[in-house]
Amino acid sequence: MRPLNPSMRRPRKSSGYRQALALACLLALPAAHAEDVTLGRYLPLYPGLYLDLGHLRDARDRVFDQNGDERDTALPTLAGKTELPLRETYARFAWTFPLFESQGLPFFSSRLHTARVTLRHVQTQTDGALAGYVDAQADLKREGSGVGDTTLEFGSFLWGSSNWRSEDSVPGNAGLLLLGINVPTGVYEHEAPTNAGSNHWAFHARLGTAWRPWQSAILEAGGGYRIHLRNYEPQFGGLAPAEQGDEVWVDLSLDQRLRPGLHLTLSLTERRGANNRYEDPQFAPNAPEPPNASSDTVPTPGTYTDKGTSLRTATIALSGFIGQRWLLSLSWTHPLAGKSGAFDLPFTNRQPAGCIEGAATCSQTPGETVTVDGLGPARSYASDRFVLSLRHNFGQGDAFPCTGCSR
Amino acid sequence: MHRLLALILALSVPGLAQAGIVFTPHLSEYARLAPGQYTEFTLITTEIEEIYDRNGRKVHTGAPFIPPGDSVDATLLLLKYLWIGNLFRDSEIGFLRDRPQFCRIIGTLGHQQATGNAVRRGLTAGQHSGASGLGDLFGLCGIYGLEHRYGPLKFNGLFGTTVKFPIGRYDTDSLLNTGTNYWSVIPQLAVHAELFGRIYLDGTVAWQFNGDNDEPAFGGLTPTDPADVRNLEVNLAWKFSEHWFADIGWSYRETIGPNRYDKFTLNLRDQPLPPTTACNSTQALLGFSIPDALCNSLEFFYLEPRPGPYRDRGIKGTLLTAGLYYIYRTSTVLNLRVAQPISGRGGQIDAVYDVYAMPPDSPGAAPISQLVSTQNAVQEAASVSASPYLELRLVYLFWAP
Repeated sequence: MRPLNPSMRRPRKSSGYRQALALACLLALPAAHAEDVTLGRYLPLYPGLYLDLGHLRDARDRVFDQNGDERDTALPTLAGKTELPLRETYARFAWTFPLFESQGLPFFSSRLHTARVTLRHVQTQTDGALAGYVDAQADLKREGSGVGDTTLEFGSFLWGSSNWRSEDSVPGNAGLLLLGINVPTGVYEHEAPTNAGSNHWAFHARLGTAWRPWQSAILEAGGGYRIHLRNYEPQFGGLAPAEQGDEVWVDLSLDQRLRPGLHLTLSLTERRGANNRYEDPQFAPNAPEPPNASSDTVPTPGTYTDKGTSLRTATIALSGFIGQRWLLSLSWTHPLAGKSGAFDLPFTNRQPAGCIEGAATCSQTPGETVTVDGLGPARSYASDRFVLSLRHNFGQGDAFPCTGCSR
Repeated sequence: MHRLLALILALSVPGLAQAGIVFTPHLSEYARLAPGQYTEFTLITTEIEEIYDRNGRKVHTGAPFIPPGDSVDATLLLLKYLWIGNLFRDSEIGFLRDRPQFCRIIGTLGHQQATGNAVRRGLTAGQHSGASGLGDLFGLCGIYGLEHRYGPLKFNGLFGTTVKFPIGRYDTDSLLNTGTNYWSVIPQLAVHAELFGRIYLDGTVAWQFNGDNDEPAFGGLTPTDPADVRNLEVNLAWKFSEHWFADIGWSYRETIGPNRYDKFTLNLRDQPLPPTTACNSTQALLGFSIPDALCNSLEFFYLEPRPGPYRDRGIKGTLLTAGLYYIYRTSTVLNLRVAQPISGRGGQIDAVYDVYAMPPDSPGAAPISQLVSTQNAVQEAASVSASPYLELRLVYLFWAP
């Protein structure tokens, strides 16, 4: 793709150019979740289109329970081991561009901006003890796999992008303010304990900075805040939150160039989520036994809350360039500590079993209370996550030498 | 000038996906574009708080079964790929040699969710009130007409045909779906005209032939035989500068005759009904209560709907749109647009329920009463929103020869 507008020419293919491209290509690798740390995430790219293709795997067979203890199952309150493995393939289109250059607008015209669209395909599964429970129920499903949620983001580089037209455009430091939306386009089977989608909107803001302490390294630090809107039909009988608590996260990473074209990145993240709220759960896999054979027991309608979630992770990633436009990266994320959501759910005994409230022959009495694991975003998994990603730099796709030219 | 506009024109040739919400005009939609490959990403979002009933009146969503205040929130993401070229450029086929062809694929992702009381109403019938995932796939091909010039005026025509492949997720037990579960074929004729290089006019006539839907959703409140639809649209744009455009548009769609429903099954999930439910709670789902005289005389009731056939009065809708366009270099267009319905008519049917004192399928069972419930038909083929929607589009030119 030859840049045809003389004023928009790219940097020469010098060592500076290679370095600029390296940083550009490394920016924002796998970003399935906003708290993921990727090298160069707060550095400006040279204007153009970048495509990330990635695949991640997470066994999700271990969690941190509501007390912060690591447990060898995904659902500690259910006897036996449960696994909810996840495989996700994603494609992210990221544009970097100047905006309103000729208008001279304050803030906008002097900076680079970025827009990103992330599409996903998610394969989930339910194995072990919970799968046995699901299979025994007529109306439940094991999983909802398919298209995942879509993330839309727009951001502006607050500093470090004003000289992007110059030959040596690799900034010594830069800062990015990024605003994002989670569009809940993902498949969401209401009867399943694990799903590709979230079934609720979320909005996040992310602020971060990058600094080069020495020529071959990048130090980055940032944080973000995410607001979740209501989920009107939470999955698996309402055992997922109807309203997920807001989240805050921080991240820190150091990248070191090991040799030309090969980078090693070490990262730490910490995420904390406020209390999740659950409404009118319909059932629970660990429901208590009814008092006698002619009665049954059902969850007592009401609103319940857990004590929030948290997760701390460490990531190591190795990235290597394949030519000028391709970058291959492999990362391993290991959870260090965390906490999942659980809540106490009281039950009501009905006599006779299955009777309808309001019927003269239906009597209801208070039953036992059990602790139930929250599903969906209430889980903080202690299992390792691996991501393989490939990035391609399309460059700027202008077809014509200048705007407004005659054919 | 043409080269700059090539990108604008690429916005969406026949911008048709989920025909009920997207078949609306855009700037230079039917102009001859420069050969190339284009991608487009569109986000459409709306909060449907009002719909049109069969008399053309605006009513709140879910009326009269639920009180005002709830809505159906819908979001549609369109991913479009457009190819424009001329396969016959070097051939001897005179007609095609001078007229470029185009083909387009439109993939859709969607999320639709009812809120509050609408969800609770659906649950009483064992129905979900939300849907997410893949939508239907649209494929279309067509040919541009020759470009004519008369002084400051130039114009061209276009013919295209769209096929809607019903591959979207479709749950028969849901109030909402991202897929439609029926095929559509939509031929269209269109025209584009420019005056003084400042004023742009686009218009089209399209006819949407719909196939049958043998598995209706939400208890049969989606048509089993969706009527064909005719569409008219026109768009007028003004160029402020090489970077900025604005447009206003008008679109109209109307079914040719009524939609047909012959698999109506919507009913209360938990039966038999004790008198307290039968006398009070049936109102929320069915819009009627079993008469007091019956309630006081029997211990349980069963309800059984008659499957039909039923017909609505057909649907129609008129929209006004207004949009703003910003063009960055020649490779990117940003477009923000709002659409406001100004009139319409939605689908409703008068469904008949039989009341039984014993299970309807038991020997000797006979209805003891009949009640009529006016139900709102649902989903794209039968419901017409009276609420505005917002559209945000990003067009990117990947490559051009």
